[in-house]
Amino acid sequence: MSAPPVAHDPDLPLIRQAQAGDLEAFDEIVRRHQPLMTALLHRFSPARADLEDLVQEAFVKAWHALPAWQPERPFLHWLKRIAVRTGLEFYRRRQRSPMGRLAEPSPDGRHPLDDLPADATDSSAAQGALEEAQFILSHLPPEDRALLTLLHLEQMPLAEIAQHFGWSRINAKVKAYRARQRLHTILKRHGYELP
Amino acid sequence: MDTNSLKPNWDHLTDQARQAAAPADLDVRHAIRQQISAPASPPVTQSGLWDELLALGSARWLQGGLTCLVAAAGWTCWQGLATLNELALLWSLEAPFLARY
Repeated sequence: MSAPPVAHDPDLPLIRQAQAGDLEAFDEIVRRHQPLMTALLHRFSPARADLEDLVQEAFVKAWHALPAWQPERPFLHWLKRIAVRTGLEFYRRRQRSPMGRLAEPSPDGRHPLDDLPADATDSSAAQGALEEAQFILSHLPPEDRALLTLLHLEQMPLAEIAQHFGWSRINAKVKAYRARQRLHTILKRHGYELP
Repeated sequence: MDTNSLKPNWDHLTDQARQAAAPADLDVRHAIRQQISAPASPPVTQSGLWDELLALGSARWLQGGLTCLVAAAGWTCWQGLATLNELALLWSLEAPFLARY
């Protein structure tokens, strides 16, 4: 695991202070880890407004959960778990909301955005690709979407994803297999070459 | 694999998507601070709801409104009663006439 050993965790003094209610210390924790959390949650939502909300929500959850944090658990791993679960909740909310339904495919499987020319957006090619990938993934159930976002866009190992979501390894493998099967169907419908 | 295929490729798309950089200027510390520092709103309990209802019941404007409503309903019933009486009278007058045919 890439997280440093707990004994040498440079965040430990700050975490102790934050656990005691020190807002300044928590502010410093946020400053240190904001880029990592933003990069991770950017995979879930390329839209800036949603991304800001997600990063904020994840850190507020971390603040409330901080008293329960144990030094035996790597802090960065713990933060990433909160971010990943916040991303999954975001997908669930999206699926329930009327705006989420707008992104659903038409009966023939096509979306109005499919017919736009590739240069219709002024964002960079990479940002456009991320948005398109998220559009394809939005046709999946929230859990599959979060799983494949982490696997394909974040390239997070399946074992780590399983830990974040609290699944066993076998269960994670089965879920990943099923999610890929569903993705294949959607890719075929959208005229993609199958991987 | 046919590299000249016009079909979009998922692996290629995700490769490209991974290059997308998150906004570097995003800073939500102020918003987090505000949200954390804001006093939590007290949860609405059933006893709290009863207190609200009782307080409403003791309000003069509500009592006056209810009195007016009851008076209007009574007047309507009284009027309705007279109409019913007239209908009953008409029926009693016409019933023998209708019975003949």
